[in-house]
Amino acid sequence: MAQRDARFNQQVLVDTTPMPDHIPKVDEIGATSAPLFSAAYFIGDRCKAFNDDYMKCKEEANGRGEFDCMKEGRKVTRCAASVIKDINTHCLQEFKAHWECLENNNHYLFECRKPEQSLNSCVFEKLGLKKSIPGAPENEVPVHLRPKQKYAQFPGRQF
Amino acid sequence: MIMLPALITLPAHVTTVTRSTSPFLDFTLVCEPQYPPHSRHNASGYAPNGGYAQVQYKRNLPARGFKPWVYMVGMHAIMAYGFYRYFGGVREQRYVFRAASSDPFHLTSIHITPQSTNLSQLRSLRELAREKMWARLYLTPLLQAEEDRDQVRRYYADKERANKLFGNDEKVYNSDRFVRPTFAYTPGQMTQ
Repeated sequence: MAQRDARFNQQVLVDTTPMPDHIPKVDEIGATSAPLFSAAYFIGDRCKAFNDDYMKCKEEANGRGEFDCMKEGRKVTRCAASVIKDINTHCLQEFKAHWECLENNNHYLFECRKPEQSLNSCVFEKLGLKKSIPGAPENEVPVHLRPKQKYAQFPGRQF
Repeated sequence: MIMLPALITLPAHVTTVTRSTSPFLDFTLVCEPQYPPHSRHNASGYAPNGGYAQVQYKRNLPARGFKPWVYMVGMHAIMAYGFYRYFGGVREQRYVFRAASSDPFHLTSIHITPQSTNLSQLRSLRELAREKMWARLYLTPLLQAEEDRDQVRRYYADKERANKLFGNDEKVYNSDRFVRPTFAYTPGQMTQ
C-alpha cells in the first residue's frame, strides 16, 4: 500500500490568498447566525428580487454558477448588508434584544415573540420592511403574531 | 362444591367450612351436607310437599361508584380533550413538515429552484416549521453567494499556485463546470 504519513496539525489551515484583482471586491456580510436569522424576513422582503435572480442564474448556469453568477451574488450580499446596516442604524436596541434572545433560546423563534414584536414594528416604521410568512393560511392569525406559543417554555401570553 | 364469598347469606341447612388462614384471603368453602342420593325426594321419587327449599342465588353485593356509562363517557371526554390539544400542537408544529407534491401521500424533500420557490403550495399546517423554513430560504442565496465567492477565490489561488509550480495550468477535468476540489492545499511550513 502506498505510504502517506498522516499529517495532523492543530492549526486551522486557511488559504489566505486574496481574490484576484479582476473580480470586484465586496464586503462579506459578517454577521453570525442569530442576527441573520433575526433579520431573515427583512432581508427576504427587501432583497427578494436579487435573491431570486441569483438562484435563477445558478440554476441556469449549468454547473458554472460559481463563476458566472458572481455579479448576482455580489448584489445579494450588498443588499443583505444594506438591510443589516439599516436595522443597526435605526433599530439597534430591538434587533439586539431579539437576536440575543434567539441566541439564548436555541434559535427558537417561538420563545422570543416579545422582542420580535418590537423589532418588527420598529423595522416597519423606520424601514418599511414587513415580516410575512408566505403560504400561511389566510383564515388564521400568522404564527408570529399569536401571543401564546404552544411550544414555548412559558405557556402564557408573551406580549 | 362451590365457592362463594362470605357475604352471601346461606340457608340454614348449608354448612360452611371456613378455610381462610389469612384475613386477606377470606374465602369460604361452602359444602352441601352429604345426603344419600335422592334424599330430598320423598319416598315415591316426587318433589317434597310444599316444594323444595328456596335456593339462594342472588348476590347481595352493594354497587359502588357511578354508573358504568358515566365512566365510559368520562373516558371519552378525557381522550377527546387530549386529542384536541394534540392536534392543536401539531398544527403549530416545530420542524417536521410535509412538502408539497402532486402526491399528497408521499414525503418529499423540497428542491429549491426559482421555478419552485412558490412554496406557498405547502399543504402542511405546521406554522412554526413554515416560518423557520422561509427564514432559511431568504438567507440561502446570501450564504450561497458567500460560499461561492470563497470557492472562486480558492480556485484562482490554486490556479496561480499551479502556474508557479508547473508553468501551466492544465485543465484536470474535461468539463467547464466548477468542480469543488476534493483535496485542499496545505502549506508545507507555517509562516505565522
